[in-house]
Amino acid sequence: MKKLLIFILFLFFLLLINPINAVEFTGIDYKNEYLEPGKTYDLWVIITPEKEINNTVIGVSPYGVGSEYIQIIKGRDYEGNLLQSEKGVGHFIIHIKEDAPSKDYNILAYCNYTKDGKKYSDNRIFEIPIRGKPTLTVENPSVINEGINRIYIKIKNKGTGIAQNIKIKFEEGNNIYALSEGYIKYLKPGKTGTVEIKVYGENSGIAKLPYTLTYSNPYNDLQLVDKRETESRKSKTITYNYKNQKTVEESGNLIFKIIPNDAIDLNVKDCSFPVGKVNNFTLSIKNNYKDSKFTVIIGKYYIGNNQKTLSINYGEIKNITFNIKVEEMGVKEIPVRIIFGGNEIERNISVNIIGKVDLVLTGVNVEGITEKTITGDLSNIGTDKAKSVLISVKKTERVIPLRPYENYFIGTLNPDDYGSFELHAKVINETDSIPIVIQYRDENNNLIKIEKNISIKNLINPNQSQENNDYIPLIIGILFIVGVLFLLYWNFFKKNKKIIIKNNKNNREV
Amino acid sequence: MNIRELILNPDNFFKDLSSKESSLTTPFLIVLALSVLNSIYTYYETSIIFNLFPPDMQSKMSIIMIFSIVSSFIGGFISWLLIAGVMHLISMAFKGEGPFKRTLGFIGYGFLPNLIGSLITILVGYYFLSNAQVPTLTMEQLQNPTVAEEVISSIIPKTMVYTNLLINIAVILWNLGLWTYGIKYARDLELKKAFIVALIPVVLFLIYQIYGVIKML
Repeated sequence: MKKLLIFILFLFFLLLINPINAVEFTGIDYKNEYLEPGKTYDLWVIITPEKEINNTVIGVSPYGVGSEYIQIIKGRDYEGNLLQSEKGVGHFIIHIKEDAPSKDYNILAYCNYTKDGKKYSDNRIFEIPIRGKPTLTVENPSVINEGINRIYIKIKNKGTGIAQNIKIKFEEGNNIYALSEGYIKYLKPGKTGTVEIKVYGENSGIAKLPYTLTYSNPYNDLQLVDKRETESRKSKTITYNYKNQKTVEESGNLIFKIIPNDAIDLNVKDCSFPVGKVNNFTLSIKNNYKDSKFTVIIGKYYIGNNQKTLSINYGEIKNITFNIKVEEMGVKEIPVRIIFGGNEIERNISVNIIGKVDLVLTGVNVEGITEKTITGDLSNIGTDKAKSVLISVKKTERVIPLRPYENYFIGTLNPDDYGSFELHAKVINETDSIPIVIQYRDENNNLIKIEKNISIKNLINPNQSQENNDYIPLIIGILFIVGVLFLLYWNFFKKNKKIIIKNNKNNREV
Repeated sequence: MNIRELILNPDNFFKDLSSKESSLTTPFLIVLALSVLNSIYTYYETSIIFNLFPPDMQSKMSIIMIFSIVSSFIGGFISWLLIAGVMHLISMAFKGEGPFKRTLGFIGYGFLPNLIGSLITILVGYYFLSNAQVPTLTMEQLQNPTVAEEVISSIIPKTMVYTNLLINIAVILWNLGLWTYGIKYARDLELKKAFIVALIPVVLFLIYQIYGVIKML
């Protein structure tokens, strides 16, 4: 045990006195502040040997999560013989994958060499910072009307980094003028922002609106602009000139087609619909443009087909109907796209989705013959609430309401709610039903009256349904009495007569 | 007992019977069957009518129902004794002779038409009342005789009343026929006198029946 411990200490001492690294990794260079996803870069690794080395090969490989996002295109560089303190520069080509998230990645640099006839290998891990760069695109509606338009410009970040302080400014255009500017605080990669811009279309035709889009990177973005080499007798100097591209400015033109302001008149036939029901959404289109084929597309709430095509001649008005169903109450916007004659317009049609009161009588019971007591429930099976609900007996020639319950106040009935009631009435002439009036106020305080009839048919004459064929027992009764009368006649008269005749015959024979 | 003879030739039936020793077994069975049928019909009719009463009164009404059923049952026997007693007394005025036991037995045979009539009445009652929808009345309405009468008349249709009246008249006339021959041989009377004796309770019974019908209408 003691010998083993001395041996381990001896090995440790040997490691301490023999230096492991004969090569020093002096630096790594990629000529940029940051590396961007989707781009290919040259990479240089510089080594300085402490002693002369031979068969020197320098290489790089991604390390850790970097292997997922860093692709090595050229990863080995042969340097051969290097004298003591002679710098060796290995050149490599790497590609940063498109989906590389912004962070610092590790890359392993290694050097294989021979020294004194023996093979050695040293390595070092370097950090390379990868930062995404935003790339913005601008989309504008292709068609606007003559005059002032409120348009929405979509700015999409198709890059890999966040864009900050996005501003869009416009210059005076050809046949079009911008009346406002747009600003978005930031846009993450893959996200789209919308800015509302007021533009003035001068005349119908094609219009071009120049714009300047400025935005900034969250990081410094040093781009190599210039490289100069100056050589003297003793030394060679290389000067790199960088430009910080943190703030980006891009220019372009937005192209519009300006159509006459009154190319079409678009109206909606009915803009109030009950919630939760399939309704007919009818649009009325008047063509002020020219004979064209119109394709109408609605973007929301449709049931079944949301696209219909029809031909409308100049000056003609035609209706087009879609089925819609909206599950929420309130004012809703239905986007409508109309494509005609190579033009396309988009409008949002506002519809008011309202609840509907639906009151039904349930559990109605009528007691009494002439003086009726009607009890039951009034249930709201609709989607809107009924306020100030009052139920009353309607006075007619046959029915007179009776106090104290000639009417009954139920109050507010919310959807899926019910209220009990009691009504008293007197039937002065025979009738099959008692007329009831239900009145309530809707959400807009409109007074609504509904009349319903409560049947009292069964109560007045429970056997009325049998009246039609109840002569059969009566006929049986008549037959029974006829039979009995015949029996009595037979017993009292005919039989006695027969006996008398029989006696007379006997007397004659005697 | 020769029922065919009793129906088709009561004269001969009672004549034969008078020559034998009088027994009350068969008349008792006839009246017993009649009483049972009457009780069944009373139960059926009252159970329908009692639906008029509010649910909290239904338990009290069951006592009244039991009373009505028992009354119907006993009523048959009381009628038998009463009619036999009345005829026996009236026949005394015509110098009729014969023991009361025989009068009771012969009058009992005369209840056979009632038995047949009751069977028909039950069928007619079931025909009319089986589908009747009986409303439940409040106490105030029940205490109002006009309302109660109107409701009962709406449950029991007029046709049913007329049918029952016809059946009852037929039964009474048939009773008259049987009881005439029955009292003739029970009390040894002439046919005409026997007819008068039988006619008096029959007329009284007939008047009672017609009065009841008029009241219902």
